[in-house]
Amino acid sequence: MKKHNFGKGLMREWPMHLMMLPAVLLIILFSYIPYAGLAIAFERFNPSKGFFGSPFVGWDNFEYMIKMPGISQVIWNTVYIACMKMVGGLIVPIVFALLLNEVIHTKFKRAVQTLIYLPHFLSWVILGGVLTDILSPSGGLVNSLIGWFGAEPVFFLGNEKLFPYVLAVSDIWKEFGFGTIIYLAAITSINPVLYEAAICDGANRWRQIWHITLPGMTPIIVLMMTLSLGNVLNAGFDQVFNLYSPVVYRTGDILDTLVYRLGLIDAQYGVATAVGLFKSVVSTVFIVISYICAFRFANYRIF
Amino acid sequence: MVRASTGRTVFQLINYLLLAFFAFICVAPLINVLSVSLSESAYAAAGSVKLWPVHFTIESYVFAFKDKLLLSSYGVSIQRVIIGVAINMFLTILVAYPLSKEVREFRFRTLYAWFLFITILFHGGLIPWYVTIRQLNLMDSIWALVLPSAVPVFNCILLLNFFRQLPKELQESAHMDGAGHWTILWRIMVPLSKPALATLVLFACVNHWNSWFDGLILMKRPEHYPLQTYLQTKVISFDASALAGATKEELESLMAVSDRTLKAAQIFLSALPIMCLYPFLQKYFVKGIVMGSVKE
Amino acid sequence: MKNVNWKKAAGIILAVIMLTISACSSDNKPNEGDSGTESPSASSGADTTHASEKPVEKADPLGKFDPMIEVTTVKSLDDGSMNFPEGESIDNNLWTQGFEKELGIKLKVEWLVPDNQYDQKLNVMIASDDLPDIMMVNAVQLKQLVDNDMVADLTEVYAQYKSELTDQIMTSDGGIGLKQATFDGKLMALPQMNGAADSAPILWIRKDWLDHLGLAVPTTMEELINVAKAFTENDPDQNGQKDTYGLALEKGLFGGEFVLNGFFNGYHALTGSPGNLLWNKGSDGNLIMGYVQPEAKTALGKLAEMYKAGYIEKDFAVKDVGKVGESVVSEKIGMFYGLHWNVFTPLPSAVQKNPAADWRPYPIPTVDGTITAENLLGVSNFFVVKKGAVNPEAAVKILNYFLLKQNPLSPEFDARFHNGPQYPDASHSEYKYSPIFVFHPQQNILIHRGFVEYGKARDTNVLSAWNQGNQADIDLLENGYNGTDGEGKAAGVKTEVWAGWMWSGPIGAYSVVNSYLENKQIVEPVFYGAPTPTMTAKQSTLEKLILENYTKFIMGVRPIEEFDKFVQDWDSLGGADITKEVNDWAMSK
Repeated sequence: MKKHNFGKGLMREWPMHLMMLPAVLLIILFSYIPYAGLAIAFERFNPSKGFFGSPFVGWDNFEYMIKMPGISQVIWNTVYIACMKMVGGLIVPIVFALLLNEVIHTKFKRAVQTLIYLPHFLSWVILGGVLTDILSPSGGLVNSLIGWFGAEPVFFLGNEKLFPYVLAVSDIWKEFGFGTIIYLAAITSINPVLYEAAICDGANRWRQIWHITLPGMTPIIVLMMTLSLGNVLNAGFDQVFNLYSPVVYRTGDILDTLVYRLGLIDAQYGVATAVGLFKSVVSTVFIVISYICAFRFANYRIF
Repeated sequence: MVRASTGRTVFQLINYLLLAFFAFICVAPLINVLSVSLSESAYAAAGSVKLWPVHFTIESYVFAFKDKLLLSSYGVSIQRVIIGVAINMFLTILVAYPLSKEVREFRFRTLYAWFLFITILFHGGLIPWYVTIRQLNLMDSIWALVLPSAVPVFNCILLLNFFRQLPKELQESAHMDGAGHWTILWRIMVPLSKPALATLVLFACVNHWNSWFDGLILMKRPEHYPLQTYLQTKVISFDASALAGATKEELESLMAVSDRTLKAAQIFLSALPIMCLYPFLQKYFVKGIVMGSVKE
Repeated sequence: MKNVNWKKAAGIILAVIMLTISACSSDNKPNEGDSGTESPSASSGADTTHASEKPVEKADPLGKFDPMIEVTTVKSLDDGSMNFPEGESIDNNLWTQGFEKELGIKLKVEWLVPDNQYDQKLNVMIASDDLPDIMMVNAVQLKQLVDNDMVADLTEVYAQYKSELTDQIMTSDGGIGLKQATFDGKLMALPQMNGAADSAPILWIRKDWLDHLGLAVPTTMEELINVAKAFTENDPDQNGQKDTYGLALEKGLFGGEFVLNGFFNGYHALTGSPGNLLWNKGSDGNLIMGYVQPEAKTALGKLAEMYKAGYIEKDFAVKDVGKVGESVVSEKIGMFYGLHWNVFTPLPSAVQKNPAADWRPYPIPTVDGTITAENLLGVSNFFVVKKGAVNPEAAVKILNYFLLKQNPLSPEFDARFHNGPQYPDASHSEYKYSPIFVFHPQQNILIHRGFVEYGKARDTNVLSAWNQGNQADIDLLENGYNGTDGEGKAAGVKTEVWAGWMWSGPIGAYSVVNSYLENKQIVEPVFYGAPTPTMTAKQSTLEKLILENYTKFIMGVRPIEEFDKFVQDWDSLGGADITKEVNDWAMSK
């Protein structure tokens, strides 16, 4: 009886398995097989002995990581900065997409859409130089504006307290175009009939947004939020590396810049891999929690 | 007819101004780069160039185009984008369809979904990745740039969500008319997902266009570098400590390298194609002809 | 149904594991670098079998391999050299042709990258155990390779096969380079001999500003600070605005340009730079690191005063060399400490923008009349041979051949091997195409001296082989050199050739280095061993501590009185251990 059901199911489903096949093969090849390299996190890696010949050292690399001086401050910095980016990176594009959606003039709308996506293309190597200019306490654009209002110039990139916020704001600025596009695509997929019905019921624009647009975007919002949770420990190496300096180490040094220095000077593969593994585990925990919550409370399967 | 209230007009005005402001601050750095590239070298080096070229000259572009390696890297990147994005989109579509089904329709969907998703969470690391590609004999070929990232899981998840929002009745009625999965996918789902697909094409193009690290590690000669890899070697700040014992010739070539206007020209040239791509795709971001409601 | 699911899953997982194990255990045996055929039968007079007995049986340093062998390597080139002239490529140039014809070696270049990406790519190669026969590595990579037993022991091979010329050049720095490449008494690499005095600090000043203000070139630290004050407050560029600073400084604090090395040297603290730290002989005879010496405290105190008074840019702490360079070119700064190569960047841009900007190099001022100019190790790169390579002596032969053809001291010197096959009509850096290249440690000094002599004698016979390829500069010399004091017409020199003149000419950067040498003011590094264990583990953390605190001291964020506390922190974080290890090493010498 079971066999019969299984057979019948397979008959119906085999085209779908076939569709999955090429992707699955490629993923096994390029993602799963390399997972063997995670073994490095538990070894004192010697390249000539390879992944399975190097001496096994158990949790030593992780211990080393935990004992690194200043590690707790660095982890706190990482989480703090990453959280600000996640929250800002979620809200700003949504608001922007909504605002943009209100624009009637199509040419303007398209122009704006194109322009906001631009900072995404420039690397932090370049933007680092640009930002240093703009935020300079002696003649930079922002401080000139502050000067108009009669206030003292602020040394943004050299101020321990302000630095994390500078990181968050500049990153949101660079990437909000990306989120906006996704949300706009979601908005355009909402059935116009719903809006017509609402207008007939006398809803004004705000109510329409609140009751139609936002709920229509919810699945995508939840998805983006969940995926971004995976970045809770990714405060953005490229950006920090190009903007930080010794004077803001205390609040600006993140996990990745610390590991970079370790890896560069000491070639500590084991520790670097251990840190990477640690980050992955933490991300997974957060994402799984979020997936379960969305499923239990909103009956929504994220994927 | 809707009466335009004052409140609404004010709102529109503020909205436009706000959006214009944000658009401006987004495009300003690029304008700065463009201006630097069109300015005379000494003024660029002095930091005098803001939003307008100082002492206009196109010599940096002339110089850039003489660079055979820049041209060849352009070619490699274009090749990479065409092949890579085609493979990406094909696989994304193939994968999103089965995964968008309910469990009762496709019993292994959750297993597959997690199978894919884990690859976002965990990575084996640089060395195993490199060793795998080397063992497969892909080094120094276009396939090394295109195959390892062939399945863009993030895009797949986005698309499967879009597919889910399409009305089930469409699929069910097609099924009853005798259409198989393949037909349903390509004849119904895909045409209705234009905004999503356009978005994903854009993301895939940008990803391939901007990758530089794989090009560096997997290619054996600079002639095979994709554009951003090549650019990276130009823009990166050199390590000054290595110069202590440099010879005269090395130092002289250094003078040419630290030319800011040249760097700016190269940067601008590398961003240009993608900037042109976006407006091209925009016509697909139209209000949908989608019918039906959202998920139950 | 559920059972079937689990079995299937288990099956898949098992298959993946099997695949993984088989893929990885068979890997990492490099398939490149099989040097062709069997052992070399070096022609005429070779007898390589008695390697382990003393005395060493000499073998033919340039003997040809017959049959031909294949040797693999990897290369990096700078942009200029990447532009190969007609008919040449990395696989086909004077060197590869020479190797084939005269040494019987077929060179295979596995990969080629631009200079600034070499390290990154090489690190991946090393970590994947994907080594070519011969390659160039830095000190850190060398230590790594030696520790992991991945390179060949070259002691015997070098002793047997080195030519006289090779021996001469490799020991002309007192043997320090070879010592750096020796571990446990075994020679594990061939050091890349290089400029021995090239990292001596130089003070660059705008002479025209000094003239405007009627100031003399500073020779004491007091005078230096006065000049900085005058540059800041007295409008040296005479444009009616207070928009200039005294001393340039970049956020890294130590290194190659806009740095403090020379300043600290003025107080007799030799610091070096991150990645190349220097040790000094303390008053008690023990070695102490430059950054934590009492003299460093004095220097820092002075800098803090200067910052407070505004002689240093307020936001130096976030400016990298690029940004500070802009200030130099836009004439906001009149003075900085740097090295000889600053004449090639950023100064040419400054001179191009304002040809009246008369930047000149001077010896560093000192606090008490005695100059102690620090110097880094001349050798920072090494050539290694992969462990298990079939013909390790090929590396030594290539070295011999390189010096034979490229070094002006050699009887068979051929300028084309240095400058390219079209020389003297066209010139480029042909020598870079060889997998192994070394320079005479005094090369740049000899170039400079050759100039000065030529200037005096005006006789082309005096031009040594070292001045080959410097035609443009020689013409400059003919036009600009003006008398015995060497002043010449520096300010009137055309900007395109200004750099060459100000580099090796009579008043150029190398004249300063030369004066250091002649007055024995250069202090050679007292520690030149391989990184010690604690160094390897803690170096980056300690450097971060130093940079962070130094910046705070200078900016006044942290009062200079807390310097001793800072030293204590440094000690407890690993500094004390490193000091002990370094002193132990010194004892064992």
